[in-house]
Amino acid sequence: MGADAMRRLPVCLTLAAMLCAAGAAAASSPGAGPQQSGAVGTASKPVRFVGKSASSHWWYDGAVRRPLSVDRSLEADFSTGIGKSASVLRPAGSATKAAAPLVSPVLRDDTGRARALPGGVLVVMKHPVDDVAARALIARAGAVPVRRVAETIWLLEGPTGLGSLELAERLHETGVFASAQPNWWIERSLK
Amino acid sequence: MPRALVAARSRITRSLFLTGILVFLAGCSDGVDEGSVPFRVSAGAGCELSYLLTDSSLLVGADPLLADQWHLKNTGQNGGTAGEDIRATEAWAVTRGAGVRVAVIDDAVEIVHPDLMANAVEGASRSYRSGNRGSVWPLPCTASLDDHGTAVAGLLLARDGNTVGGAGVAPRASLVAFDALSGSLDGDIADALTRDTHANSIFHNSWGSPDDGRLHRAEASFAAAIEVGTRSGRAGRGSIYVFPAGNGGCYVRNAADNACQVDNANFDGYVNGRGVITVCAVDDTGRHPWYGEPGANVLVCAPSSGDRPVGVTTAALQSGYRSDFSGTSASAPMVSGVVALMLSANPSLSWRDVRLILAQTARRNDPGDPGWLPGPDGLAFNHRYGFGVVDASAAVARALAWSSVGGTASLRTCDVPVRAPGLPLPDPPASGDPVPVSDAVDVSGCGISRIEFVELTLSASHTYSGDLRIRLTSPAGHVSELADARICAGSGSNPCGPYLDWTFGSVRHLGESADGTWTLSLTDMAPLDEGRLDRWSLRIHGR
Repeated sequence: MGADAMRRLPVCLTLAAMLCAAGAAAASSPGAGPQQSGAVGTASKPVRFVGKSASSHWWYDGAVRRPLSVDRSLEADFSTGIGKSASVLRPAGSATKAAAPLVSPVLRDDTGRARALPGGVLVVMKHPVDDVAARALIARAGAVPVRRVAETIWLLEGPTGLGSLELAERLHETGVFASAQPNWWIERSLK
Repeated sequence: MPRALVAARSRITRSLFLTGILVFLAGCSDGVDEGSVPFRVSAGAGCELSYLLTDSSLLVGADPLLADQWHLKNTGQNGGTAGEDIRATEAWAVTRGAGVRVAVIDDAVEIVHPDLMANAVEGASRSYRSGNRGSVWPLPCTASLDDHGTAVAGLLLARDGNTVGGAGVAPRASLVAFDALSGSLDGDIADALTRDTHANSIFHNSWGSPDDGRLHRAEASFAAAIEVGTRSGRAGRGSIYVFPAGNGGCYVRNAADNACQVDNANFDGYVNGRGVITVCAVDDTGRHPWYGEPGANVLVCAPSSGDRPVGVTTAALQSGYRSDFSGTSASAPMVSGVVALMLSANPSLSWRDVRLILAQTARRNDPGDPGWLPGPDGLAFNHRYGFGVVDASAAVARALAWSSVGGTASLRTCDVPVRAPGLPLPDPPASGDPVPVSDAVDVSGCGISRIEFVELTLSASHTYSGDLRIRLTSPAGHVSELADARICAGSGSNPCGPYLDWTFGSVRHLGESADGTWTLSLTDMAPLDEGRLDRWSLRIHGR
């Protein structure tokens, strides 16, 4: 789309308009294949409040430190196992007391994508190393291995929820690993 | 071939087509009970679907739905254009994929489907679904939600000549299935992408990031998994990873002019790496469908749905079939099927060989489209079509005569030092065209005379990254169109996502020489927000 067309777009100047932009439905939904966007959406450049982002946490995405904010309307319940991935999301506060140890807050990254923390941390070794050496490195970093996922990738123990975010950050900052990040649950789309 | 597998294969065939004892039991699943015949399997306790496998023999005969599968041979049977297909039936004169094992990573796969079970490898699939984790039965749990992977697997390798359904592109290839998308955890994805890489040659994926115009990074464990697979899979020849370009070609419409906001495959981190084959879609007339995403990283296309209500015919849940499967989820498994045919014809091909053969043998579709751009050796590229529609017959023929360029070990990589120009990116002028801001780097002594892949890593601080048009021009004057202006829904401070060490991949420069001047240009296409080109770097891969 050329610049002229862009300028012709209505620019939302109110909070209501901002909501209309946020509510513009994606044309394709996960697993459904492409879906024609029937009713005309309301694509317009929303008013944003730069500097007032509610980033409350951070994580290392590879070498890049990225902000996260808690979505207080949702929680992720990993105590149930049946159904599609999206089914882990629930309205905040709806999980049973018994499920509480397996409930994670839902976080939004800097693209607004929902993320949750089922437990565990994934580290990538800087170089391929054998099992003994890898376990020694992990122990020296103060973590406990669960298993080797692939040649250079290990899954480490970590609690459900923010504890694994904090552990991943600490492990990253040791400099021992090429990367250390939570074993995220994220939204992925079947195409 | 394990004796038990033969028995298992035959059971499902008889139950469906000789005795009609179909195998769906509602509300009584409790996992696997293989102690006696018949036996029952499911994706775990509480699942709506379970499957009862009974005894019978394997049938031989024509596939009744084959004539409907226009993507294999388009005669115009659905109103499309004759010849707009992947030339699969011609390739079958050479091979049907025997000896090649394909892993389908999806939500679930009905591996007991009568058109899949004959190709399924006993005991090699794996479930990641909570409650079924570690089981070798990654089956659908609910009929309404878990139907995607079965359709994908059917297009790729549904059995031919078995009197039922149609055929996959590689109908004698072997199937394993991993339901890692059922839980969508980073660790499970990395595990599935690297599982049994000595035996699984192709890892097929019909999933990716949301198609919403935003910049979605791939997790570090994903990148590491692809690197491990391409370096060490298949005894160093490299695992093959196939992904869809995405369906975000019209992710939202403008209120003012009804025009589409267009996502770009270059905004999906999963398909920006050198080890991934990115697949676009064309309709049954060979044209770009409304949902198609452009991208400099798109290698080849394959058929799928378009503007008319014509999908592709494939397997469906509960031993059924459907003719409405659509999107790049449908086109990508066709390319994986073609790769299976290629590897069956020539198992020594490396992951790099496969990419080169696909590009060089692709058929230039929609020849009147103005987006076709010249390249070296007559190899034209189009950001909507990559190098064109995959051609199974030509790819298999080329595979048979191919001299390998080697795998990861022989791949040359040229790291061009980071540039930090700190150039301001002003808003467009009130009248007249927006002005690009450019920065150039001279590359010399790379030792790469034939580029295979280019990675551009970019940091550009901007309060609305969707304003930016981004182009990379090679020394030969060829342009990678990496980003165009767009609007993203959301209320964050920068809803399209920040260009913070964002890596774009490009196959646009395939076959070019690396040495010379590379020019990056960014253009702010819309008012209200400004920014700065902070830094950028290039990694050029080739030989």
